[in-house]
Amino acid sequence: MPPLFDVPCNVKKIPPAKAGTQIAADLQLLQKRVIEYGAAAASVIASSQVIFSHDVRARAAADVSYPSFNWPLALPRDNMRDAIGAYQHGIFFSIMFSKPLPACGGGPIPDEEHRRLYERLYALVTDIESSSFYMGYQLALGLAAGNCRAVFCHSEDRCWAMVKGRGCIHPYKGRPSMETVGIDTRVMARSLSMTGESDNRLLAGLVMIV
Amino acid sequence: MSVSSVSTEVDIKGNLEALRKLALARGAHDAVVIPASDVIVDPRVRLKCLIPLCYMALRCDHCPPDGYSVEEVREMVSRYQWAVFYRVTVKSTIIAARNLSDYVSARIFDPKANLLNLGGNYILVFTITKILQKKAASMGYAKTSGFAAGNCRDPFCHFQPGCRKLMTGNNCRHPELSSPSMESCGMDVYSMAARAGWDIYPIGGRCEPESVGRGNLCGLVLVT
Repeated sequence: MPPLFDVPCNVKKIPPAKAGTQIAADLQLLQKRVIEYGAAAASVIASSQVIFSHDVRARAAADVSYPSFNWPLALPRDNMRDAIGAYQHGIFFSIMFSKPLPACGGGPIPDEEHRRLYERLYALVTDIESSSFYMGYQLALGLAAGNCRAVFCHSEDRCWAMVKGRGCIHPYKGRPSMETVGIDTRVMARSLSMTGESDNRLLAGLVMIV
Repeated sequence: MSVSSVSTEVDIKGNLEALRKLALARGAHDAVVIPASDVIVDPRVRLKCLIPLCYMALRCDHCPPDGYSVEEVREMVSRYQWAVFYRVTVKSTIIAARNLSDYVSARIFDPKANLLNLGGNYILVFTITKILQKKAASMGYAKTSGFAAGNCRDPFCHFQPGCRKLMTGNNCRHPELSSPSMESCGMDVYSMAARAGWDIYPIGGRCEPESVGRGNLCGLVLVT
């Protein structure tokens, strides 16, 4: 998939303050592009519409059978909820699969077709995040679904970012998932009327922009 | 000189201006004196070291997920009234050189020596920060806090197997040179630079020299 924006032509200088009208126009443009690039639905949301759930976070934290840096995400010196609350707006979007998706949690994704769907989700998240960055939103932050190790490093015997002195081998692709930071994706999708007939065919991504 | 001898408002302003000029004399392109209340500390900034995962995260004691928390930095900044904020500019042909991010991630030098050149500019930022702190101490400001740009492991411990403080808990190899970066402490350097009137671009791995103006490496010293 080509990037949403041609970076060499579109890098914007960071302004001292961003006008509300410019932010609204940029968010609409990004939302439109996400749909054009294959999302089933996309909404511009306020950070107050991000739904956190202690249970979702606790489930992810307890799921340690296939650990990676991003699953379960443990940042003792940083508070993800506070950080997400510091944004004003983001884009929440979904992609749909033709049949129900098994609940893999943070574990491996055995089915290659399913894995490709996750790859598509991560590509959209990273692309929107990167495009937002070059549009002058330097704090844009993307969250995907599942465990990035299951998507990009399933053939590796470990997550290399967790090995002292080594580093992530897919830093530009891997992102934490919404569930590992405690966001209830399903409830959010329902609240935004994105689920349609069934919510077990849906994968969702979130990019907080500004 | 004792602290009491620099306590008058006139003295403080004069000393801050002297520090600002010193930053310029030592290689900064711009330097401003700002109220400490203008230092923007934002929890989102540290997350940008982690999402996506910076190649130096988990490898340098000053870098997230280690280093100062946002709460610690806010508390630290609240104890000061004035700071010197400065920038070192870097040509876009160096900081946005093609494939530079690949060389950075792989920790190998590029044939055009852009990485070495960039490293030199980072060292300049660390050095200016330490010079300002030293000068401020000689003026009587004994409890300054200094911040540089980027990680300190690449410029100072590149040929070492790891950050000693992080790997073993022992002392840093270069405490006289090393400082945490502004961004690792959650300071929104982009917004602060833009508010100072400096041209600043989001420069990342997909940039090319023609995509952006010059790059900026910023430093900050909280003085009094």
